This record gives sequence, C-alpha cells and structure tokens, in this order.
Amino acid sequence: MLRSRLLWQFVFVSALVAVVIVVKNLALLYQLSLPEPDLNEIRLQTIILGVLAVLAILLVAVVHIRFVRRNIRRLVNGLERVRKGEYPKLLVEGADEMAEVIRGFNQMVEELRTRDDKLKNWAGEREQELVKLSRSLEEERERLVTVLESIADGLIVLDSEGQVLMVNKRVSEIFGAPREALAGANLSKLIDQMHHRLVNPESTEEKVRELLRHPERMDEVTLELDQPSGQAIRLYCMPVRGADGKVLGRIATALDLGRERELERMKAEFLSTISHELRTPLTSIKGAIGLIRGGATGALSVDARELLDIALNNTERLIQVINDILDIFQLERGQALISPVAMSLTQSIALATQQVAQQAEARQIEIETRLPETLPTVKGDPRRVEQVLINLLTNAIKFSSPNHKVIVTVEKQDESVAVSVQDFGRGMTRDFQERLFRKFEHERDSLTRESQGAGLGLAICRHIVEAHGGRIWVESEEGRGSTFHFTLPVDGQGLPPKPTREEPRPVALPRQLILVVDDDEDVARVIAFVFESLGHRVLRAHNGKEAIELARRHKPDMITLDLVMPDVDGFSVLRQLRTGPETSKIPIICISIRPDATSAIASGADFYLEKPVDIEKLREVATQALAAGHRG
Amino acid sequence: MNLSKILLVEDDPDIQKVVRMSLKLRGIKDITVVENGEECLAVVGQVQPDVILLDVMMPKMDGYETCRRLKANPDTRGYPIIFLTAKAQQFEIKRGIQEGAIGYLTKPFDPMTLHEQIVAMLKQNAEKKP
Repeated sequence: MLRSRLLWQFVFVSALVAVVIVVKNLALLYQLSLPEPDLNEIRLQTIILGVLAVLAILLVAVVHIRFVRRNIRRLVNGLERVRKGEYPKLLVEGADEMAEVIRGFNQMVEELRTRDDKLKNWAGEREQELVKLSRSLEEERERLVTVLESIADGLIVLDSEGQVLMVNKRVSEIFGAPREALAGANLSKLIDQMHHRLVNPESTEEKVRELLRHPERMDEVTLELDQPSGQAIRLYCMPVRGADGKVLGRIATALDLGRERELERMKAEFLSTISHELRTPLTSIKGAIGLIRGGATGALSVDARELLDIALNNTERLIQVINDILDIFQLERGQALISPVAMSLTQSIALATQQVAQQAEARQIEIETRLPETLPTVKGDPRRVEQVLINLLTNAIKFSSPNHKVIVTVEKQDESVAVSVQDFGRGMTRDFQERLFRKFEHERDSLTRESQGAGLGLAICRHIVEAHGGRIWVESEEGRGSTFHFTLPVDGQGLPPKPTREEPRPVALPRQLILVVDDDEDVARVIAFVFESLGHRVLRAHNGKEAIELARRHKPDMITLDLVMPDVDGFSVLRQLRTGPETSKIPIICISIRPDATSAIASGADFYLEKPVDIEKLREVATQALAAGHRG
Repeated sequence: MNLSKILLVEDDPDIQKVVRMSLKLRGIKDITVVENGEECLAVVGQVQPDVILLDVMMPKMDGYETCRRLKANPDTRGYPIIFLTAKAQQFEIKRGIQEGAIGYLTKPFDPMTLHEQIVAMLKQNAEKKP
C-alpha cells in the first residue's frame, strides 16, 4: 500500500486536510460559548487528532525519504559496477519518478552492453585483419629479403648523409667485410678503409666524396683493387626521392666487375677464335677463286667468270659479316682505335661515293652531292667517317627504287657539320625507326625480311659517330623514303688535314686545266671532283676518241687516263697522245684496274695508279705531275 | 728495293699454295715455306729473305713470339716482317706492329693484289729509314 504513489499521496493529503481542520476547529472553539468541560474535551480530541495527522505526515515523509535513499544507493552501486565494466540490472520498485530513473538507468546499461558488444566484435574483426595484414607484411618482407639476398649484385641503401642503412649479403662478399661492420658505417669511411687495396686511392676517394656531396645525382664510381686478384667493384648510385621529390637517400648497386671482365674476356677470346677459324678457310677459298678468276689458270669462259664472281662476292659478304661482328664488339667495348684528326668531309664523301659507284650503277641510282661553297674541316677519323658514309650510301642504294636519286647533303651548323643521305625508297615504319640503330635489327622478322646482312651496319655507324662526339638519327616516311643524318664536330683549331707525307701542298699550285678520261661516269666524276676541289678546271672524256679530240683541241696541263675502255684501248690512246705534236709533252697519269704499271710507263705514262684510286695518292701524283709541267 | 726471295711461315697447306701461286704470278719464284716459328728461326739465316710473311697462330711457336725473337737477334733483326694472319682485331694488329713488323695483312687477302701490298709496305718501310 505504502509503495503505491497514489496511496502515499492520499495519506499525505488526508493528513494535511486533517491538520487544517484541526487548526480551524481549534479556532472555532475559542469563539464558541460552550461549557468549559465540553470545550476542553473537544479541544483535547481535536489536538489529539491534529497530532495524529502531523505524525501521519511525518511517517509518510520518513518512509518516502528512506525509499528514495535506497534507490539512490542502488543507482550509485549500479554506476560503480558499470565503471568496473559490468552491466548491472537494477530492481525497479514502484512506478514513481525514481522507478523511471532506475528503468532509464537499466535501459542505458543495456544499450551500453549492446554497443560494447558491437565494439568488441568490430575490434575482434579489426584485430583479425591486423594479424592477417601483419602476417602478409612479414611474408612480403621475407620475400623482399630473399630477393635482395639472392641478387647477384651488391645492394646498399644509404641515407642522404651517406650513412649505410642496409646491405645485402653480396655486398659483404664483395667488400670482404662482415655485414655488421658495413651497416651503420659511412660509405666514405668504408672506402677509406680500403685505401691500401685501391689502385688509385686518392682519385677514387675523391670521386666517392664527390658522389656523396651530390645525393641527387645518378653517378658511378669504379674501385679498382690491385691485390690479390685485380678485382674491381663498380658502384652505381641512384637517388631515392619521397612523394614531394625530396631526396631521402640513395640506393647503390655494387657490381663485381671481376665476373663481368671474365665474361668479356671469354667473349673476346671466343670471337677471336671463331674469327680466326672462319678466316683461315675463307683465305683459301677467296685465294683459290681469286687466282682462277684473275687468270692464273688460263682463260675463262664468260659463264665461268660470272660464276666465280658470284662465289667471290659471297665470300666478301661473309668476310664483311665477320668484320662487322668484330667491329661492333670492339666499338662497344671502346676498344676500336679511333684517331680523330682535322679532316675534309668533301674528300671522304668523294671516296665513299667512289666505293659505292658500282652498286649504284647496277641499280641505276644516281648519287647527287650537295656541298656548300666553303666547308670547315671536321675532327674525325677519315677511315671511320668513310665507313659511316659507305654504310649509309649502301643502304640508300639498296632501298631505293631503280632510276631514283640518292642525295648527299652537307651543311655547316653551329659547332658541327651535318651530313645527310637521302633516298626516295619505301621508307620505314615508326617502330623500326626507333630500333634500327640497335644490333641485329631488320625491318621484317628474320624469316620474312627482304634485306640481307647481319643488321650491324647502322649500330656500327652509331658507335662510330658517337665516339666522335656526334649524333646520328633518321627521318623517314613510309612510301616516301628516308634521310639519315649525322653530325661531326668542327675541328676546334680549324687545322687542315694532316699531311701524310712530306710532299708539297697541292693547294699551292695555280689553277690549271686537267682532262679526265674514264668510261665510268662515276669514277670520272670523283676524279674531277678531287681536282675541282683543288681549284682546277676539269674536262671530261668518256672514251678514247673523245679524249684525243679534247686533248688536241684544249691542250690541257695534265691528263688522267683510264687504260681499260670499251672502244679504243687506253694504251692506244696513250701512244696516240705521245706521238701527236700538240699532246706529246702533256703529263699523263694512267689509271687502271689491272696491274699494268710497267707497260703503262713503257708506253709513255708519267705516273701510274691502280683502281680503286687512293684519292690522297692521286692528289700527290697530280701535284708532282703539274709541278713538273710539260715534258722537256 | 728488291723483292725476289720470300720466306713464308704458314701452317695451313692450302694457304701456302694460294700465296705461292699468287706470288709466282708476279714472277717471284724463290719462296721458302716453313710451318712454324721454330722452323722459321732455324732457316732464316740460310734463306736470307727480302721479306718474311708470318702467320700468327701456328704450332710450336706463334708468330708474335717468332717476330720478337727475330727482332731480338742482331743477325736477324734486319729482315722485314709482314704478318699475314687471320688475327684481324685492332689490338692484334697493334700488337703485331709493336712486335716490330713493318706491316700487317689480314686474311682473307686478295691473291691478285698480295704482291702489290707487300711491295707497298716494303717501299713505305724503305722511305721511313733515314
């Protein structure tokens, strides 16, 4: 009953009403004129009633306060248990506000439990994920370590100050020091410790210091060790940058050059042996065929000559492949001897053009040369520059359609001279343009390709040009042709080409008239070109009859005479010139594909040169002939 | 400059024949052929050649060693030596010249111009001498 809120309220209000009535009745009693005994009795009864009502009120108050206190204590205990991580459910008494509070508390605790459970589940899941991730990271790390440890080269991770953060096993082997001694050390100090083993300690240490001063650079240094094995270590350093581009440190790979050098040595030995073993039988083949073709065993039929020419040409092709393989190998190793001198490109172009004249003629290709009026000397190895030109011209001829031109253009640029060889052939794909300067590259695959050769020519050209400090590139359009360009540096001091012999310089001679007699238009052009470049005037004759006519009419200061011509034999022309009064004293240089020197001199020639003509030799001989003047 | 007597040091019989025929075509008939360096050293004083054509790869004694020994001996130092070899790499050529040869011809050579090439080298060598 007492626990009922309404009952308590009813008792409290009744007691209160009773007290009011008692007070009011007492007041009325004083106003009423009742006999004293009655009045006293009524007064006593009213007071008793009033006291009882007050006691009832006090009782209600005490009971209520105790009830509230008990509930508050319960709540405090509940909170304490919650603090300890429990989820208590408190007893709900009655239906008053206190009961509401406790119910609310219980509800809150329940929600807390639910939330905690969820949180625990989530945390459990995250923990599992974390364990999984950590395991996978560990596996990844182990894999990485295995890879790093299995790398044949040494790997050093450095901070931006050059302090070693990590090394793999190979580094320890290469440096011959335990890993613990390497990690944490400074690279510079490590190299200093190797001082006594280095071939050039000062320069090597300086190079390492320089390398450490610039962590942002990609750089390399070779540590040549003299004892005991002549070992060498090459360090390649690469900067490691953060997302913001800032250098965090660097990674250095340490390469034991010992193995590399051993492989190179084996490769060189293999090439040398294979080259020797191929050349030896080829010597016999070429020698035997050459002797028969040259008439050593008697006269040959036309068919036999043609077949022997085929055999000889193919022997030459084979020799060229062997030469190219050796050449590219030496160029790649930087072993090819390139001796740059101040040289004339004009002369090299003339020589190269002469070399490919026969091929051009066979394919009915005209080679046009476009030279500026003045051209400085370039710094180059004449033999190598000529090799590049011959290679580019041969390709241009090979890939040109018949009856087209190949144009050689030379232009002076700032500090270099650019040469371009243009053909109007089928051109090439962009893909091939990107790889054609690499070794063994052909436009089609090896089974379907149309061109012959090992695919080394352009790779050799690139190496040669780059070894001269020049650049080589191609511009090409499919169906329209290709233009190969290369540059050579202008000779710094503008020196003229080094004279090879102590002869008088031909340029010192005054301008004179020279008659060039050759049935081969290209050869005649090259010879004329040589004289014109010296400032002389040139007349050209392409057969014996024309030669005699021009010689009689113009009385040239000198004649170059091809001895093998289709109509009138060169010897006959020579005799006629020597017997004619106008021409008998003109200096004559005989040029022949046959070794006819003795007969030529006996027939009246002043000088004799064999084809293919050595341009330098031709200039020397011409200088002597012109300086000597007409026969006395 | 006289070229009539040649000492060919070559172990390959086919190449011996080619060289012989090639030089005979140019009128040189006095060609002594030996097969290795040792034989060369043994006969050179007797043959007194105008030029020695020397292969490099040979049994018993190679061409470089033969050249070195010929040049080290005052009696044989004066014989001009031309290497005629399949060792055609530049460092090999350089080595041959450093050993004291006046010229270096690489195989395969052109049999029709072999004589001219030898003559040119001998002539160039003669011009160099004071």
